[in-house]
Amino acid sequence: MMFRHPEWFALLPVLLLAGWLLPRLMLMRPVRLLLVALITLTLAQPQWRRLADGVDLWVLLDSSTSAEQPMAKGMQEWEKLLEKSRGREDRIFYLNYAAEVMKRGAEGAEMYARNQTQTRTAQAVAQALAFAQREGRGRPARILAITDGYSTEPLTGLASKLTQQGVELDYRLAREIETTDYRVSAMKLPARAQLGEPFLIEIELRGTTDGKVPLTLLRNGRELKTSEVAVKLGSGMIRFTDRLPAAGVAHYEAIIQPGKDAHSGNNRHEAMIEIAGGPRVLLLTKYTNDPVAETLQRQGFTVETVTELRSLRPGQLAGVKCVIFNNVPAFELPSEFLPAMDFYVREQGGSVLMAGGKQSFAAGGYFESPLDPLLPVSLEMKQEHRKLMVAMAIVMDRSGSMGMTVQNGFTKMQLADEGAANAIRFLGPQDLLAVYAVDSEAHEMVPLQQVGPNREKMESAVRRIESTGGGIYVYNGLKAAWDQLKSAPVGQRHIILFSDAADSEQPDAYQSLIDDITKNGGTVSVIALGKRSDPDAWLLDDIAKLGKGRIFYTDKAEELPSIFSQETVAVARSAFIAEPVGTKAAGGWFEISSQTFDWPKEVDGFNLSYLREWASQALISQDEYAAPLIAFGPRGTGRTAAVSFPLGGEHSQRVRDWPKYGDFLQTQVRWLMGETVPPGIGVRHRIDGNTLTLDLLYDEEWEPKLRTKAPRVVLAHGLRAEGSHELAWERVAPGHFQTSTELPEGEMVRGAVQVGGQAISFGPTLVGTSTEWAFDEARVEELRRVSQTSGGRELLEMSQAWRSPPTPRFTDLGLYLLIVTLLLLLFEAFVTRTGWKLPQLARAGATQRSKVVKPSREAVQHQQRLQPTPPVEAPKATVTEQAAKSQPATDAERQSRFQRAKKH
Amino acid sequence: MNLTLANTWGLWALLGLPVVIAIHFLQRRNRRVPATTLFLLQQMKRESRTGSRFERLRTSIPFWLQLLMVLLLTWLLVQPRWLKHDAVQRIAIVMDTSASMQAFRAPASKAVDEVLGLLEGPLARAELTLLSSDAEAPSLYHGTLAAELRQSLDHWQPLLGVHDFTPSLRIARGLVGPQGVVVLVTDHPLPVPPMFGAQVVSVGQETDNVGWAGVTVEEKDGQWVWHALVKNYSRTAQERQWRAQAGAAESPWKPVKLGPGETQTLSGPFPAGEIQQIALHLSEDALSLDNDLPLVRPQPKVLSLCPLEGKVPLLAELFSRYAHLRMVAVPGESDLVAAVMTPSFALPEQRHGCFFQAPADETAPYLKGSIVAEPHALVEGLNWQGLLVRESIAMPRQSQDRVLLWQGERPLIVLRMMPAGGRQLICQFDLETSNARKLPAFAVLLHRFLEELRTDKLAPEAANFDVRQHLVVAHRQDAEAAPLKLGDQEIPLTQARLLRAPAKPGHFTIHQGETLLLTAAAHFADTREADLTQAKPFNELDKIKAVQIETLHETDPNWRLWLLILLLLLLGSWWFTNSRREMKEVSRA
Repeated sequence: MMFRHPEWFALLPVLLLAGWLLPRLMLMRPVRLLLVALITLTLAQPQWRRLADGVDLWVLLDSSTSAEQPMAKGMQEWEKLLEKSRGREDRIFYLNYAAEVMKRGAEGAEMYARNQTQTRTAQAVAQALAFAQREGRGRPARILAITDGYSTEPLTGLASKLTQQGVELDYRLAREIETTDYRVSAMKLPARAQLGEPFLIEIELRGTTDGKVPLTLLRNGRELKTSEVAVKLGSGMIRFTDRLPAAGVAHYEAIIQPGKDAHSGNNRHEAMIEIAGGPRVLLLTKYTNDPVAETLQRQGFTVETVTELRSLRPGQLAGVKCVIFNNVPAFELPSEFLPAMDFYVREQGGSVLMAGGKQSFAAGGYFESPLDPLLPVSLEMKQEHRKLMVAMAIVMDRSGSMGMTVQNGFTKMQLADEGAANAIRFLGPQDLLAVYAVDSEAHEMVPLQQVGPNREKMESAVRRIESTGGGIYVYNGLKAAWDQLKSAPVGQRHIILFSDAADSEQPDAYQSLIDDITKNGGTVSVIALGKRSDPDAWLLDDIAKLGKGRIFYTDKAEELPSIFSQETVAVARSAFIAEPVGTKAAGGWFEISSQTFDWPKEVDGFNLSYLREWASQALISQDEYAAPLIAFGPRGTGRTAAVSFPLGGEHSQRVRDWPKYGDFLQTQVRWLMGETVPPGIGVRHRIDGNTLTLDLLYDEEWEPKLRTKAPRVVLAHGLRAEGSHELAWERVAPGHFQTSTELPEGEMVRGAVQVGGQAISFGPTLVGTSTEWAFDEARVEELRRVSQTSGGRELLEMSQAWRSPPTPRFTDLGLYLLIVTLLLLLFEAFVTRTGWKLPQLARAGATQRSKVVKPSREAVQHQQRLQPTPPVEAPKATVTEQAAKSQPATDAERQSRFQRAKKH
Repeated sequence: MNLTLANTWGLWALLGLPVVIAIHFLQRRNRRVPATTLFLLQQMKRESRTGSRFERLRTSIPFWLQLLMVLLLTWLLVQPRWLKHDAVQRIAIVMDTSASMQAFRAPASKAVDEVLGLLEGPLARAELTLLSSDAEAPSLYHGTLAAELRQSLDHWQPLLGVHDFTPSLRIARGLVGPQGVVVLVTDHPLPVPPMFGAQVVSVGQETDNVGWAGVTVEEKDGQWVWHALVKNYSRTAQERQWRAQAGAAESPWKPVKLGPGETQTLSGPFPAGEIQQIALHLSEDALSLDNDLPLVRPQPKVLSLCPLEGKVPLLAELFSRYAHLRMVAVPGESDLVAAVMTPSFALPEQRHGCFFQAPADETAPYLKGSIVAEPHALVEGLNWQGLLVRESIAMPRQSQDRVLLWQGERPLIVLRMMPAGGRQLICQFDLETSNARKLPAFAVLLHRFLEELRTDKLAPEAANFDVRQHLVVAHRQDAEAAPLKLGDQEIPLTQARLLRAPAKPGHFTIHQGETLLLTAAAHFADTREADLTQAKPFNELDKIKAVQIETLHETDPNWRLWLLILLLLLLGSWWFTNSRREMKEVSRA
């Protein structure tokens, strides 16, 4: 028992004193005294301390895929046992958890049950603690986790939280006696290795029966090794060593193909390793023996040359400080590479150099591409600079597949229509355009006419094109378009075929038709919706190849508007001026180097572009355009440059003969690569379960810098490095910042730590797709330790689940006291009014006597007065007594008696 | 009141009432009506000949119907919402527990009041939660009473550095469900909206602050000296007073003037003698956490090493490069032994050690094969590619061995955990003929190994820490071992791994029984929290209100009825207007 406000007891003596001073209060009557005491006691707020009268048990049920079967088998029995051993005051709550935590039976719980690919035990315990605090209101609580023990996230911080809240965590491991199943439980690689350094690849297999399991190891999608792994006593391991001669990132995949297997979903695991090899230049080129590569290597740069552009992966950007696009068209690059450039430059401190040529800048399809905003020049030719008219026909697939709605809520057809409208926007007023919508026939939506006076009408017409069904008859579409174009009185004729790569039909005699087109100066480009691996992609490839045009593949319909823009600008508003032009120094070079340059007097040709506001230019053309020939500028933490004349191949002879060609390239690329991050700082990343933890470690010399400007860490998701966001660094110790975040399974992430204006990049890395099936024993051990720290234990006997921790619980007695007070008050009123007395108690077994009613005092007195008083024997009474007995006293007389009594 | 108007602007529709009245003040335009009967002329005589002029208001049924219609339209326009019968307001307020919030404690309380005040109208049934953004801390309040929630704010202690709000927001969202409101009370607008649909209320204001920004302590010529950085985070020049305190002795207050964003280094010696602790103080300002800088003179644990040299004394030279390592001659007095293993050499069971092979034959060829490191903390991230080792007889592997480095199939470096507790690093090569001594990876490996031993050594040490920094304190763990004591707080041994430095700057000690294990000082070091220039007011209370109305209220269920009535009124109004005209037509006839 304890009192919240014992100071109120001071009231009791005051009341007693008052009772003594004012006897008329008759406070000494037991019932009244009791009432006063009770009220005082209620004011003091007494509370009853009870140690364990009932406990709230929060049962966490692992609903993840890996625990599904054992849970299903045992659950019914466990529930029965828990219910059977439950005390009268005990309460039980069930929480289902996997990727999310939901109360069993709660509204909308089934929505969360879909994502069962994670076991978020830490989240479930934290949620249960919050619920326990909210719903327990001081009641002791325990948590019982029924799980396979393999959490997909670390249990960091849980022990502390449990201890602070005084809740013990018990656990029951639910594991299955499975049928034959093998799985790749883990694939371990170091996060980073040096160039040429051998490293260990450990692949762990788990199986329910012993046997040999065939395993294939892939590196970057190509088979590296095959082997058989012996699974003994449920597990097996195989180790490989590998070393990589090139810096960058390597992606490894381990796949098993057991003959007999219950779950095929857990037969694959993937991991990535970063090969650190010093800063290097990634040169994308189609030239054989590119002079840029040769020159830079001679100057001491590490150059990785990529000529097979389709094989390029965003992962190759790891460790690269400068990417050079040396006259390579955008459409030949993998669709995820260019989107990844933005994060690479702005956040990871990378740099880009675009060199001129017929397949570069706008002519290469870079207009409105993700690279466009990074470049220091704008790409589309101004209308006033256009000299050549274009006649263009757009052939649009309106087959049934185009009616499908994509992520942004539009149909594919609507997005293609928007693309065609974009094409109209970028054509000049003198240009001619025709649009055909094709299913099994070509329907003329816009007849060939001048864009200028009809622009709005045309846009409106193409926006009304709807998907009708059937497939696209390619030949019909191309033929109708060419029939219109061939008679057009312009210098350039071009057809854009937009088609579904999986549904392009009736090629007929397309080859002879395209032959006719090209012979008459026409070209055909293809915008293909789908992948290069789709069934009709070969046809579209062939059409673009024979038509001497470009082919764009995209499986994201949202990109269609910008692809149409790129293609139109490449055809109508790009200019590679293939004539020698004089050059003029523009002075901006001094921002890069203090060294003066003897610039080449002339260059053989250049891509016409215009300087952006934020950029500087070192060299301009000495013609009517005064166009930038060398421009550069910063973008985010990175840098970009545009050299508008070719650095190799056609139209580059004068530049290559320029004695300062090597010096220029060296200075430009050195500036682009920026300064190296001073030593004494490093970033380490690791993945535990699906949590990526980053550590920034630095020495004392970095301390002042980081105090002036706090480090930032930015993370981007996916191959395209989209959806970048900043994480919060937590300072854990001097010289050590840390942050962690959860990663979705199978999604690649890259990041950058920005310190003192420079960036340290890391990744890419990913969570292997089998995290849920990883069955990492370290997680079980962690659960064991957390449980032990909290005071809990492994629960082998379910009936023990209700053991209550010694948590004091206080019950307020105020309510009970008030009830008693009320009853007592009523009783007192009754007694006072009626003069009722408690019945007398009699001994058991005593003779029962008939009850004699005792007359009242007044009646006795009255009887006495009526009887004659004998003169001699009668006792002498005082005058006062006689008066009192003879007649009732008046008020005044009573008062005087009271006064007298007071005097005594 | 259970009624809320979702569109109060709709009340402007009430202006229609005076308009209707004004219209009815106007007299009807005079019309020529040929009349043959006198009684009809009698009817017309009250109207003016000239038409549109004001007259006294003459009410009619349409007039009243029109007024009613205006009222009905107003009702529909204001979009009345009724509190749902079963509506429960679930509100979770997450308080940013970053240290910078100390400067805005009062505005934060006010913001909580505002949040509660905003919702107090329909707060008949509410579930309120107050959480700290520290995911490890328990909830501050769960209940239904706003007053109690306000009181529980007293327990909110914003002392953390920069941290991620996501875990707390996730818990908050879990508690209130998808329909509830999660409010994050912080001191700066967030660059991106917080997760889990939380609404932000920022209570910060750009505030001047000067504070201790860091400290280094070094020994120079036998004298321990401290260098403390004091930084002005403000955009204007600031002047403060500072002083040092050592035991009972205090230096006088001295002024320090700092330009905008300037950092100055103040230095001084530790007092000679027994006093190992000092404290630096700055005069008070908005953020008090960085105004005190307690320090101790660092005393790291010293390892003693006994080198048992071979023919060429290389061990002492190798280990002399490492700090806090003392050479002793007697193996029994040392913490670890470094030795060259001769055939007769027996590894001691209980002692830690670092052992090397006896020199190999100089004519022996170098080992070939890839050098591959095992995944282990001692060799993580180290590059061994330059290591050249000659062939020699390798020690047989034992069950307690953990190979750290391989060359081909041959273990090069092994970590042996002896059953009696000794931890031994066995290098299967010799120092003389290999190039290990020149290899950075080997130097780092030895450093890591020595640091592990130092951490586990039971000995007193003194060090300076950040506030709330995790502490690793070597202590006895046997059954009779006493619990640890951090100041007056007793820490059970099972919770020793959760030890942290105190959350507020100050000196502290850790004992086990009577044994002093650590003398330390904790200072505030997250300078990002001390910079209050980015603090700005911002709030999304309107959004919260809108969300509440959307989720807890239902639209007027009778709106269709009102519209029907409106229609009836309209028809009625026409009816009564037309009936008069018809009457006139009849009378004309």
